Amino acid sequence: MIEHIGKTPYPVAKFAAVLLFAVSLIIPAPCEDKPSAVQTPVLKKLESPKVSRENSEKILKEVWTTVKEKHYDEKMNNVDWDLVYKEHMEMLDGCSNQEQLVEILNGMVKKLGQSHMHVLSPPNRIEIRARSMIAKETSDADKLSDEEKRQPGDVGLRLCLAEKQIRVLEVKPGSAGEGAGIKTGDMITSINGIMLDPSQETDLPINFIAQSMLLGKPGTELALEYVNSDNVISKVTLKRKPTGSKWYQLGVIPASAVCFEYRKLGESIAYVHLSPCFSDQILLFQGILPDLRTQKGLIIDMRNNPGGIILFPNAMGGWLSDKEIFFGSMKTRTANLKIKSNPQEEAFKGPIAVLIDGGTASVAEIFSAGLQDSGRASLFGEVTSGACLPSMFMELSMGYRLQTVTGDFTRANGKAIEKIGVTPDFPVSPLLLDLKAGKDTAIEAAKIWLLEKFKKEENSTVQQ
Amino acid sequence: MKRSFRMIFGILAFSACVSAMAITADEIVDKMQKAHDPEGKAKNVKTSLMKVNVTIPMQRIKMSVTQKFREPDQQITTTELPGVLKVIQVFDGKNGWEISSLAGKRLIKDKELDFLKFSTAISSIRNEFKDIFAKAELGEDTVVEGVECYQLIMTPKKEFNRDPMKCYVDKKTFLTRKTEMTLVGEQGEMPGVTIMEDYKSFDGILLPAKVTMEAAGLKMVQTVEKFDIDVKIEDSEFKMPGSLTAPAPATEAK
Repeated sequence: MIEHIGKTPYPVAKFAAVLLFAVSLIIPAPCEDKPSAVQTPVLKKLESPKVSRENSEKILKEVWTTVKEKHYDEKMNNVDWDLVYKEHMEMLDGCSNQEQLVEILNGMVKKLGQSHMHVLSPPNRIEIRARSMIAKETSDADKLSDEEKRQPGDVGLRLCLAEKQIRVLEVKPGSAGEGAGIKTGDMITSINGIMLDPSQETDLPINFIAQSMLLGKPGTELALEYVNSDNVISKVTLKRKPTGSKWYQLGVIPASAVCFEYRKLGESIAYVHLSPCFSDQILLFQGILPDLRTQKGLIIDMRNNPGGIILFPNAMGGWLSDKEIFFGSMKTRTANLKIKSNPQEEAFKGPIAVLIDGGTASVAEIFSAGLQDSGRASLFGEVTSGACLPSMFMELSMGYRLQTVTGDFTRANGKAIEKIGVTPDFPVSPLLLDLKAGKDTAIEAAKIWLLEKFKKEENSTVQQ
Repeated sequence: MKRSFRMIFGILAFSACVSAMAITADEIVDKMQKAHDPEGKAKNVKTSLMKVNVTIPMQRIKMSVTQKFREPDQQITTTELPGVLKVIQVFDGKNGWEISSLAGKRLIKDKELDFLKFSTAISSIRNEFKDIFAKAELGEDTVVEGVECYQLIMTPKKEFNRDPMKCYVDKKTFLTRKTEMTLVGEQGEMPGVTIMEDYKSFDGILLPAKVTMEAAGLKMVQTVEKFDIDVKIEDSEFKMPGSLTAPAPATEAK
């Protein structure tokens, strides 16, 4: 049949949806690309590159057209997109550099009033150069092995939003944070001179922004200001240590640090913390499955997880149930696709508790909602961020990058997640008193629930 | 009278001229066959191996696809997106299954299996039009990437359980320039448009060395790295993993 319609298209055609799911993101642009996260004194000294009026118009038109072509709704979310174009073209009159242009472009795409709309400057932009300068100035990377240099560096603090403040949820043993005497419950007020004000409106959850700012190259330093339990304000300089993990980079999508933690909490309960939702985390989960099956119950910590590839629920869900889990539908302009799991015999079959919070976003919300809707897991914590639309990252002219919405998402129970979030079955908010006592109340609540589940199961087995 | 005769003669002459110029769908199909396989080599092919490099330009993502084919209806397709996933999909002539580095193993069923069977049939070198399609009809002439094309609406045989697909054929060379069909994956159906360019001879058989496919807003450019015929393919490669069973019914929402 090669004679008639040609041979080559069809090997790939079979995988079009899989590939679409692999490169489609439901993750907001990482805040490392947000100017607010990199406004250091060194950076402020550097000027943003100049951009001509002609190039500004060209890129604005390209962004406007691409968003229009890729958006799932031909009516553009009922926004007069032509008027938006006209208004923003006029704004270019006062624009002379890249920073101003990106601000105008972001202002334009945000007119749609949806998450996952973002324009990033070219990768060789001023911020990156500034960051590498900062890293050079403070790094003692020579002491690190090549392998360690390639890893993400961290100061070993896990942050959360507790009583409307950014506070320390966990201090990793042996970390720079522990070395500096930082304790759980301490309030982080600024990182590298940037004030963390949770009352301020941000595109991304503030605790996610703060957590991301702690990451960087191993050996580099960051300045942290915090208030301890005695209300004493302290300023410390912390040196990032290699995490033993890796950076995940896929095409033009900005890099993210792979986080995966597995530990046993006792009483036959296992705990997995993963972030973001990329392929590495699924492979790491597959790796722990034989050991995990020796445990009765599982806590999956999705707090402060910004999301990832749409393939994640499909693939990860299969290792969590030997029955199909339907996560919801993704509607693009030309297709209505179902996101469901591939049930695997080797899946973990015990009860599952999932921890969520206001930093849980995008595909992490889809994943949690699907487990909740299918009855496979119960959710503990706080309402999630409600930033949940399928999107794609793409490279435009002159190296500018655009994250644009390509689909709408409806969860298995027929409701949206965008602007609503996922509500936990058991609301649990971190309280300062508990944090100071070193307690993670969400984990504690999940443990109690799992132990009750075990008891019920034992009783029903005895009765049988 | 003389004038009427002249008019009738003129009409007849014009009609004869038009019918001589018009081409039927069957004739186009026949010419396509000769254009793609001018030396008639395809009928002797038993197996083939095609390696395709795929890029998604706007995302700057590269991957590879390798297809092993055993005529007329068995194939193994391996898709690798480095650092993300590797998927092996097999069709043994009757059953289809998939092994994914991320999602594990699964049986391919229902409409997706129909599509796999159909895509295997049209990927076969030996299959002829009549083996796959019940009929071809002429649609409106169309210009594809600046090339004048015939449009053929091709209806697959009932056994494939598929809607008709459109095929655009270069009026001069009778090589395929574009196809439009519904793609079916595990996640559902989506329209897919494929543009074929840069035809090259591989062992006497003409193949488009560059193929651009667009589906659900994703544009993929495929270039053929190699195409070998009569390669060794072991029987064991078509053995379904023993653990594969049909998925259990979906759990009900709370």
